Amino acid sequence: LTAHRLFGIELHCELDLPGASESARPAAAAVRIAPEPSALPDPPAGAGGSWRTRIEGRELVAARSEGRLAIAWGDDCRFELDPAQRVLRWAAPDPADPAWQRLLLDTVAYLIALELGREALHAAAVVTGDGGAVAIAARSGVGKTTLTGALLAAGATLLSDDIVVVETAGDGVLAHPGPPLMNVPAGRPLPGREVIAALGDELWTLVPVEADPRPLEALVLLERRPGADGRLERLEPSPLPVIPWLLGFPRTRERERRRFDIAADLAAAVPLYRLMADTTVTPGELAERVLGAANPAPTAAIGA
Amino acid sequence: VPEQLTDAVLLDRSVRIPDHVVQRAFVAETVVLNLKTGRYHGLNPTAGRMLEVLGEQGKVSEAAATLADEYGQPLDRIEADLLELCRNLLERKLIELTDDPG
Repeated sequence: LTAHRLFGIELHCELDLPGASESARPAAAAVRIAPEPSALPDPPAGAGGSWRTRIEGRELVAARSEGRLAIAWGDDCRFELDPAQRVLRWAAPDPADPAWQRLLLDTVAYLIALELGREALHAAAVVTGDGGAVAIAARSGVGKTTLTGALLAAGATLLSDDIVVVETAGDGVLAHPGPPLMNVPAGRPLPGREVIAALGDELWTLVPVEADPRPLEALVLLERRPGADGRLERLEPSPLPVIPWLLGFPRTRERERRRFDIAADLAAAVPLYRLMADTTVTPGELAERVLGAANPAPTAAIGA
Repeated sequence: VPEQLTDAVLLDRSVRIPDHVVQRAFVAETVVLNLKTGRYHGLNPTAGRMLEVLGEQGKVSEAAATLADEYGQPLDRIEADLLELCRNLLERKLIELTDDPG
């Protein structure tokens, strides 16, 4: 068995998947990934709290029923997390298919993390020179991954590509590592990084991540606006700009309350910034500004 | 909001923040979430403080007196503002009446 520590959980797996951290050792909270020889059922139709999206042209449905989480991807890929939350069974025609492996280590893994009680931001995160994490949230197509690549080129380390599990810890917020993998636009490969597979218009790429959770030092909301010069604007602390970036599954009142709490804790403890830039502002320039948010220059000095 | 809830009647009533409402105060605003509707509401700092005092004291007239002292404003002016806020909060089910009018 190999272990994958990602999104604040640990998965143990017999399959040879990219990015395993090490051999698995017994861990109380680990989820074992096991094949299911017989067919797994579809997620229950019409069950409350279902979530749907499309991934690589195939519909993905996740639904909870009677204590178990069921996930379907297309016609023939199924996953089911048992009510004890210890075993994830899978049924798929080709577990060597990189698209299926990416689904497992990305969407399925973070859905399990959510099911196990974690809360997550739809954001990328990097670790800067002082060891703190900066998260970047943006709509699809705005350039979050390209900016993350520029931050890595400027010396930052990846914490997570697209989903960041966050938790309140003391007076601050911790950001958990994702898998050591990035989905990079096909036209912008990361220099010196191993591409596992070309999937659609993306390169599934191995990128080392920080091993441990890091204190979140800034959340940057990246937007594109014609004429905007890429200035970083500090926002008033409020959970309202944070809430749209928290993943909303499962949809229960208890979890909505917890998401409100984590958004409020994050707003109280972590500086929020809006970074608005025209498409003419280069990723390198944006990276410089983001690093400036993580490590602001001292505002005063007192001579001896 | 019941139509018969005149200013005088409402001042004499007690209110509370129901369990399905959570709130957090920040410098520039208080953010309130109604878990039943899933809607978020932003209150300016004065309205946020009024909600906090209503949650602590219950009775609207007593909350008005506390706030008049705190802000150094005439009681009738604070009462008018607080009553308007109470009606808005009741309409959005962010507070509820707790006592029978008797």
